[in-house]
Amino acid sequence: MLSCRHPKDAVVSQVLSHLGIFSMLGERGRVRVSAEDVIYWKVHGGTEADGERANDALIPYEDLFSDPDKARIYRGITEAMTNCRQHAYEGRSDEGWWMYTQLKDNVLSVAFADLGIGIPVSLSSREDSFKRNVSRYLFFAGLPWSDGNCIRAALELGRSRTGRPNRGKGLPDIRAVVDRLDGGLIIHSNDGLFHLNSATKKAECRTFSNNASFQGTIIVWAIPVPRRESE
Amino acid sequence: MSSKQINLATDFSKFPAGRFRSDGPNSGERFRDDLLVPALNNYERVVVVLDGAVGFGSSFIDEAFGGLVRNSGFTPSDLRKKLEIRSEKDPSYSDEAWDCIETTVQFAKVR
Repeated sequence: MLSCRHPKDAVVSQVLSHLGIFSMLGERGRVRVSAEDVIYWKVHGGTEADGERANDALIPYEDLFSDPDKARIYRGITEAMTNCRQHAYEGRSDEGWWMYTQLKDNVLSVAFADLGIGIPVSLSSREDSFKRNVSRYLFFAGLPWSDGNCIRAALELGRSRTGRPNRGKGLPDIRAVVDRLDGGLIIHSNDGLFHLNSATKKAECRTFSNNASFQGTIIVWAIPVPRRESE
Repeated sequence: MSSKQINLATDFSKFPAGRFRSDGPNSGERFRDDLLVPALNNYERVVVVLDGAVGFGSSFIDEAFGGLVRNSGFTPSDLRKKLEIRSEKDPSYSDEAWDCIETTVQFAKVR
């Protein structure tokens, strides 16, 4: 039989309550969720590339964006789901993804996570031309094969379409919406972190030591809500 | 001339996503094999209307349209004669689909 105690940190307790962890464990203790960095988050999950689930997650925010921008957000999320399905768990179909959405201070944040093998490992195990192109990109850029540089290469190759035939565009799809709306994008996969600020056009790429590793991939979009004409 | 119009949003799904059947319920492979290939085999002209769907990822578009050349035995020349892809709300989807059709063959040639 499972049981649990509430953590000492009240905000952690609120997170566990808001995510439904306490109710999963049969813990009926009341936690009032009020912390600013907890209360706005909505949680979604699944195992498939399911467009209806992506759309359901976006319904609360649909009046805030134009149809083309909604289509770009949908494209990014469904490609993240597809990448997760095809690559994250090496073909195992029973493993899942989690998505968290929040509207706060006029910015829509969408975080998409899996606990798979990570982009760098997935890239290094591929047998197709995309892996060769990543190696070539890193060689000519004078960059070592590191987790951070792999994520950057995968993003850039898809954008320049060098990695054809028509594979490897999922990550550029993920990036397109923040490029269009001057938003932010963070991709943290295994030991690598890629951070793009589209408003300032600055991109940062880092590789952490093992003790800072995230085992899996988390993609975070920060999408500013466009101002309306009358504002 | 016999012709067939496929409205993707109503005849297939408003929520297309994924490349292969194993990816999810409304994948590019399922659209291609269950709707598009039978229509192309049975009608002289096929019109696919993309308007009405929430959006499309590149995986879906490539597998649905590029896959016609890669997996289903059509040539770009066949498809230019038989297939029309309409995307009036966002013409970039139609351009992307044709790009996938043409690019698949270009790569086949240089191998």
